[in-house]
Amino acid sequence: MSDHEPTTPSEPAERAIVLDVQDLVKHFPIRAGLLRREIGRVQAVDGVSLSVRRQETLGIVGESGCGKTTFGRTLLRLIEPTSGTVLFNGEDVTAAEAPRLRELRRNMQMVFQDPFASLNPRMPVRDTVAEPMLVHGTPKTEARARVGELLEAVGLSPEHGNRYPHEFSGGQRQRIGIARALALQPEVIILDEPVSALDVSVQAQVINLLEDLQEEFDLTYMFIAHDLSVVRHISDRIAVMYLGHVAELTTADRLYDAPAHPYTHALLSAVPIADPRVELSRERIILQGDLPSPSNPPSGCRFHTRCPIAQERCREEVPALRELVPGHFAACHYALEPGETIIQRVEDLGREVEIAGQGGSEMVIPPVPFGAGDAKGATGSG
Amino acid sequence: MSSPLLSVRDLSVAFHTDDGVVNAVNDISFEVHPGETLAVVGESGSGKSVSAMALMRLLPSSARIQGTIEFDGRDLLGLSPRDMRRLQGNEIAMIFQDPMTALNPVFTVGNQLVEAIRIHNPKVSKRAARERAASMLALVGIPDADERLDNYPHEFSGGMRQRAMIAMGISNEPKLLIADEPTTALDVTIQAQVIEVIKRAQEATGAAMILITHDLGLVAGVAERVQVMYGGRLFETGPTETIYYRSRNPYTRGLISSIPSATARTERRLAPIPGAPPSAINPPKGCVFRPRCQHATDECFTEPGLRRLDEAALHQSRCHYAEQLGEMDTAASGSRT
Repeated sequence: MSDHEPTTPSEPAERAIVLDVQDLVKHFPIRAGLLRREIGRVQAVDGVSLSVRRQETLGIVGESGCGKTTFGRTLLRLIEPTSGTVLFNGEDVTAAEAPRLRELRRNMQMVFQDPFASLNPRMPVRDTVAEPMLVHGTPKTEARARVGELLEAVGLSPEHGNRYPHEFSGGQRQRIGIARALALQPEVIILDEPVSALDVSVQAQVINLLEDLQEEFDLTYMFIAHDLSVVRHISDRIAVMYLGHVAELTTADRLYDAPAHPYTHALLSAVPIADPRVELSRERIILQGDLPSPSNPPSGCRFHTRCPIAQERCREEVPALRELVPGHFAACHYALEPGETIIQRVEDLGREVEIAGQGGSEMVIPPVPFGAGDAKGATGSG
Repeated sequence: MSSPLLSVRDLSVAFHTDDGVVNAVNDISFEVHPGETLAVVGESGSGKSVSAMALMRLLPSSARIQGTIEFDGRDLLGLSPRDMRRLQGNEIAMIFQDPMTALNPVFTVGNQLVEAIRIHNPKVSKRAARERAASMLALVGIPDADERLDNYPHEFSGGMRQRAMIAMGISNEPKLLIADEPTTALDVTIQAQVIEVIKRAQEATGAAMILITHDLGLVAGVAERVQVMYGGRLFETGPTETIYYRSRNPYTRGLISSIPSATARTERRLAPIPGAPPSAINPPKGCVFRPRCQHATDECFTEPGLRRLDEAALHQSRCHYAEQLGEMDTAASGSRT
């Protein structure tokens, strides 16, 4: 199992589509006043379309408020979508009646971020892991027997089943959560920030475990996280989300080698790298401004308020997610060419770049000050 | 090298709990020189935050603190509470992980900044303090600083609150800034902004900084020296490049090889450290890392001391095999195939 050659039977692109999401929308109403009238909507997920192929890992990355968690939950209808369709092996999950939905959920399981909150503290682990099997009609004795196997599969021992959640460390609890998700032999597991609550050394154990289990049980993963290094490591393809939209979608290596969307560029450049020589020598793009609120997203391209290469058109026209080269999608009117940096583009547009830091290695690029003169972003350096 | 600004000798912190004595920090010694940035790295329970809280005398009275902490010629543990308060927020300032808990929600940001300035400089007029507060907010990159002073903390975004706290921390030009996980609660793009602001603030004031974090990526770009803690002990200390490329400690190496890289290809398999961090109440016998260490031998049942690995003792490691480990290639040491 420790042998980890990419033993793909076929290229992921040739495999069957397991999960096909079309134009998924989730708006949460904001209500206020005596009559609880709707006064606005949080556009958490706003028209997301993507598909996941068998045994593939699709990573979903984004910052807070980008809708990645809502997206994951809407797929299982833990949150009811506002509109759009989710096809699981061709069947519409969004149209399924309750009994059928329960059947479908056998095959689509979820692992949550917080291993402390997602386990019942008063239930021995054996019961927690057996519960989904009992709910779905597995005979008790059979379920009991399988608990031991599952615990072993996730690197615990069957004896651990008699203990309670508080007796386990964070990493072990996440293993229990994974064992529970595996109990019904699902095809797809949606992992929502599964390692972000764990210490680095333990995080790596869980990532390796997930990779092993994927191979062993032919699993398809949707891996939702904010940590780009972790997502790159585990994913075959990655979708970058920004304020409810997919900004860019392509293979993991292509995303990192030739990002086309300026947001992806900035995000990648903001991630610190645990290598002092790389860290001190590379150019870093620091976006100015905060994330806008998803209840009042900017017009046109939602990134235009922070985008250093935005132009007039970006303020008015929502960019479609278009295929630049086969398999590489980006929602940007002025997508960057492979190898082109934001700094080059900014200079081509004749705009100013502020350089900060002693080594001159950090670029602070102000967003384009539409209309309101050039007051913003010009934060004088010390 | 200049004489140290901060000198910590044999610092130990213990808490008495219902479950037994928690030895959170055991005999750590280190120095911070004026203007330098020292990173203290460790996982949860390593004692990195507790040692900083001990420096600031912010621990509850149930904590037993031993050792000496000398700051700019004064013994901090011997200072009266009153004298200590004069130092806090003035000569030594702290930036916390969660700015919402450090800012008072019922006062405006300006109010709190002005108070922070005037409490240590009573002669400064309110107007002058407000002007200074505005220039501090501008320094940390908050636009329209003068108007923003009248906002309450909840009207600020997470990144702005963290900036406001940095502004407060540096408003009295401290000699030492202690930043405890200053960007952990922030999104990546905001984190990059805040780190830039911290660097700029440090440049502007010439303060030394102790950066406490679990994020080795952050450390790589900011710190001059690194101190790795594990199980309440100092495991390795050295210049940043030495720690990343020539570590002589199995725990440090394991930590580095556990990190997925945003630059490496996806096929590389991570080399995690097996097991979980030790319990502070009932730590393993001998070297606390022994149960997780792939190099452990019988000798490791006796606790190793810190071994000096160069003449100036800049690089030190707590491992019986520190010298032997040096012969190995850091990148390969953690991988088992």
